[in-house]
Amino acid sequence: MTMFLTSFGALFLPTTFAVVLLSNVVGIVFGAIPGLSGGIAVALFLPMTFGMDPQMAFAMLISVWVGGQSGAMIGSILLGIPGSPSAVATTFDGYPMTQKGEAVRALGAAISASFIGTALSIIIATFMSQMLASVAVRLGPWEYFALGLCAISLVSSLAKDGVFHGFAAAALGLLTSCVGFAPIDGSERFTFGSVYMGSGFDLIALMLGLFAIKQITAEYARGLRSFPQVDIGKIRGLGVSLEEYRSNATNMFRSFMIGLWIGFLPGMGAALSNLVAYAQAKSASKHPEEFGKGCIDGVFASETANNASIGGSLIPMISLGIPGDGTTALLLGGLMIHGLQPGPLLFDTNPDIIYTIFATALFSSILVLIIQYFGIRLFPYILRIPHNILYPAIIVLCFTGTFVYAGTEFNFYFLLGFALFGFLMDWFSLPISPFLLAYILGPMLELNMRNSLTYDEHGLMMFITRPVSAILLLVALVSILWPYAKPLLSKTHKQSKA
Amino acid sequence: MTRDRYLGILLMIAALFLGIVTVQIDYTPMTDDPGPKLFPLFACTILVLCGLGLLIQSKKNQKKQVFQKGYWIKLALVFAGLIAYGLMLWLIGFKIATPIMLFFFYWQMSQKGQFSLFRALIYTAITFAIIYSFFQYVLGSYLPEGILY
Repeated sequence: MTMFLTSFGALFLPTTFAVVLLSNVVGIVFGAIPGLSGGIAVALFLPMTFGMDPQMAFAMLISVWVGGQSGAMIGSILLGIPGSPSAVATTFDGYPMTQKGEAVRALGAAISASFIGTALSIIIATFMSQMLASVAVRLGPWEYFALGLCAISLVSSLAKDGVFHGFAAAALGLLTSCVGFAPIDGSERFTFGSVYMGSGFDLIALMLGLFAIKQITAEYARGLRSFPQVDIGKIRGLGVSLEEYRSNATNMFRSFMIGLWIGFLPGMGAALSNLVAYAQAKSASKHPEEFGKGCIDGVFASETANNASIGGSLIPMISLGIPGDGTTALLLGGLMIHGLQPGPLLFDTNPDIIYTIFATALFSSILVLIIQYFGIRLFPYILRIPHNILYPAIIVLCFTGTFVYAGTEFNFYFLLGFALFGFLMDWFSLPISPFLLAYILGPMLELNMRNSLTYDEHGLMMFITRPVSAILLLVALVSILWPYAKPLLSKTHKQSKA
Repeated sequence: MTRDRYLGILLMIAALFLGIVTVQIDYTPMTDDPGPKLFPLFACTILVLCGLGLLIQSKKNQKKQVFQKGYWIKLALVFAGLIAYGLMLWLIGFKIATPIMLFFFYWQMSQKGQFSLFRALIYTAITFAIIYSFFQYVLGSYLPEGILY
């Protein structure tokens, strides 16, 4: 505790404070701009830290990361274009709220949920890192496979047009993730002889195509309607009432636990947690029909979960040296570059670095809250920018971001191909969230599926005999059957009442 | 035939095609490893089941999607512009392709009667300068140079 407070106090030194503040602002800007993300900002800042003192270096990197994670919701809410995969579910209700003239309310909900998610998860990570890490070590490929399958089932079964549409989208996502070299043996799959397909489809190209390019082209074809004006003058505080916080307490708690847990599991992260938390919020809601039309509950769920994944993913990174997602992999690389060995021994050898990381993350969450509190009245001005100024710049950023990320012009085909694919999915009422979730989880699912079958001499039995795996598979099965069982159960209930 | 039925048939054709490609994958078997064919076949099976489900359970009263007049022409035009931009980046590079593209889309997305050539040129110059400087000097990124140069 003393060490944590010392690290926290050191952040008030003028130079450190200025670095953290600036890094937060840069993170928010990178997170908000489509084509960039907090992860790219961390990658950009990493080489700058080589000559720095490790404590200052990590204060900078963590601040950029926290800012980026929180800033991703700005593009989702105001433009319907998620700044990063972690804010995809925020788009589902945040953007419809903007279209109804409630942009500030949506931003307020997202800002407060981001703060709660980040701050609480960091506090938990600070005090329970070592203990929680020992739980993760006990999970095997059976549990990881079951968890991934369960997450996909939960999201797919909630598809508006029925489970077949949801699972078809998920299956297409799984097949899309198979393109390129297979895990374990490196066999080529679905590349059709092209060297560019060898490493599979790039997530940035896929996401920008499905969201940004599709959105802009559709808006253009529909005739570029103006957004309703947001009356900023009438807004008090964050624009969200106490009653709304109170009615969303359970939703936020559930989303927080989902985000913390998913962030904590190696190989998963905020890209998954926001979609699962959103699906759960919709499933548990008394008014699920309002989701997707501008329901504030959806924004609370998504933003609490993706930010809770920050603390969650720090736990395996620091305690076990295993990254929770792509950005923590970069941070892990940063630790190694500075001559530090992540893992259980880091608590003994460099506790100052560990507590600097935790203290900075907590401090940054407070600073980001303050920055965004004052920014909330400025962000909606983005909506007043005419389409002919905003959209061409976004198109250039999408193409450039796609190229910079992979270093090949071939990615432009992926970008445009996924935009067309998005139109096809809309035409056939196939939901995007199960597709995206399955695409992200595909490699992890396959690896664990093959590992579990390789390790187990009893075939598929271990999936059922290991309790965690069995429970998760049962939840997946119930989620598939629930849309059919629910009307039957309510019919029986009504008959018994009569 | 409803849209769901078309989708069901398309999904089954896609699953069949990808299934055939999957079984033709060449690999060296390793001890106890089920191999690289299992997972795609697992996904193809889900696709077939969903396709069958959609064929059987197709909703009769599906909402007809209504599009404004000229929707498809505008969509084709904007996509043609994007494809042209991708090709130009590859052929003539970022420095020439991007100003052309910015100008074209500024013109296309301007409201009727509000296009000004002077403003379009200023916009193109400023936006290009900001984006180029950011990627080139701040991020130090490599940008498409064009194969013709």
